[in-house]
Amino acid sequence: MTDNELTISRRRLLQQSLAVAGASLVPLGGWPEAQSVVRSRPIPSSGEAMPIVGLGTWITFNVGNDTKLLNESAAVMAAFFEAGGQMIDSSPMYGSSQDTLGFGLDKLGDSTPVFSADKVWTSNPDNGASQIETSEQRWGVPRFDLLQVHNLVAWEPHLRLLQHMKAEGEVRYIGITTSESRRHDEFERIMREHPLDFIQVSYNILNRDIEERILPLAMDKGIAVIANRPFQQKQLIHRFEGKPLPSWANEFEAASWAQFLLKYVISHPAITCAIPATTRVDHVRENMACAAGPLPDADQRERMAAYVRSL
Amino acid sequence: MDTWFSYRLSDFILFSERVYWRLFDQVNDLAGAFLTVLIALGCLLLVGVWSRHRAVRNATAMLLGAFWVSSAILFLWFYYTPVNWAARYAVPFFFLEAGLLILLSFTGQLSRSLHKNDVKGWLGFVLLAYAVVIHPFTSLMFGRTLASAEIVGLAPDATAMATLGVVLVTATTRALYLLLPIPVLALTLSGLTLHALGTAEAWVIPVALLVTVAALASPKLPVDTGNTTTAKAED
Repeated sequence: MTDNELTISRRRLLQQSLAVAGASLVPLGGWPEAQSVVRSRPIPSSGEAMPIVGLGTWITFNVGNDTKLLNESAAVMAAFFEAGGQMIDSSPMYGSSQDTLGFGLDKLGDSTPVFSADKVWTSNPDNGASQIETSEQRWGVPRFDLLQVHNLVAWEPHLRLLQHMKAEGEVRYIGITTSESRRHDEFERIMREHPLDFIQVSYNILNRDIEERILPLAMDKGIAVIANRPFQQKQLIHRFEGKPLPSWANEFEAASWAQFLLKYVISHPAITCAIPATTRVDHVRENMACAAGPLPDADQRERMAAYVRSL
Repeated sequence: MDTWFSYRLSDFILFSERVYWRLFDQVNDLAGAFLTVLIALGCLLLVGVWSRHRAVRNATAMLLGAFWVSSAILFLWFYYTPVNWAARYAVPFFFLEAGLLILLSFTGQLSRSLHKNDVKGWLGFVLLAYAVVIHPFTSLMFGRTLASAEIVGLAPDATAMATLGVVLVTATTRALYLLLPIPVLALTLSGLTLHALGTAEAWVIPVALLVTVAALASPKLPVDTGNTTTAKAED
């Protein structure tokens, strides 16, 4: 592989940068009482606008049969939609998270603006289709907006299945995922060789591996990027809480460490949507506020990373 | 292979500490009024291990076996499996332990009694007493309420610790090595889970396992035949 292969086309970079620059602040309408103005980015393969902050469900929505926690999760979903959110991501790997989403969607009614993102996760290629069907039933949706091959498990047959489903109109977008910088070489190869609408990767202010190759390649190939674990499962929040936010964080309206960390992630021009997970309504509102306010520019991003490294 | 080495223990935990402790709230809530009965039955284990009557011994083992079945169905299957799919694979082992307890009891393999110099037996009794009487209160000690108390017969850890205690007191050598692996394995997995969740009380399980190891390694002292509670060790 040569460096040239990783070069972002100027036209693509311009397109993405314009999207970041503010043409994408969209007043939200539709869901009851949603009044926010949320920043969105286009999904490159379709141009469809996607709010840049979504909702992850890893661990947080795996609450089993617990009625109290099911209702709390539904309240988080309601706050998320009210603040202008759309993309919710889950997986058959996440315990009862899909059932929790189904409970919440049922409770909130048919008009939610949910963009349903799920995954196929089974080492047996023959089980992929039935697993997706089960996942749709658990969510209570007729079809998913996005299906991804989870962590590249049996990715070749599953990606063929997803391509077939997309061709048949059974899913709108397809993609692949990885987490914690695993198998990036193989991930890159798939990005180069197969038509993908989305990739999903782990990305945060201390885990920046993907900035070097994966994100530039995604921009070059016109692939939307979902960033998972922007807080490294709360570890970053715990690590920095008690330490002072820099005064210049006001310049891009980061009022808390959560907003500082999330704004770093969503300000990268290649990121289409970050999916922080939470169990709390106040936290989902705090996260969604990041999608409405200003974002740091490239220089501020470097300053942010340097500041965090210095702590 | 390198990919596998990149995983941490916490990567395999799919649920939060809050959800884990809520499981005990729920199973205790399900037990409702029977919770008091269950606690009373747990206390009967403390009495049963002192008895030299075969029928009482068999009843004690059957009660313990029933506790393994109830904790497998009510806790593992109803509540734990929805948040941790791996829990379903533990259910057959819980049934196996229940079956072994009952079988070995009826074949006279759980017939040892406590005597004054039986260090292993006394450590076992301490473990049993802890599991039945003190362990439920760890929920209070660690900032939760009694609603999430771990009760023998519902909570796998409490049931496993009680079993280690009963077995250390009453089992012959052969029975000991048949009955110890499943509770030891269950506690080890649970201890790793609690550690990965970052819960403060994760240290309780290693201590229980250390007491078990200490009991197994304890020297065999001569039986003091003058003690009224003495019965000749049958192994």
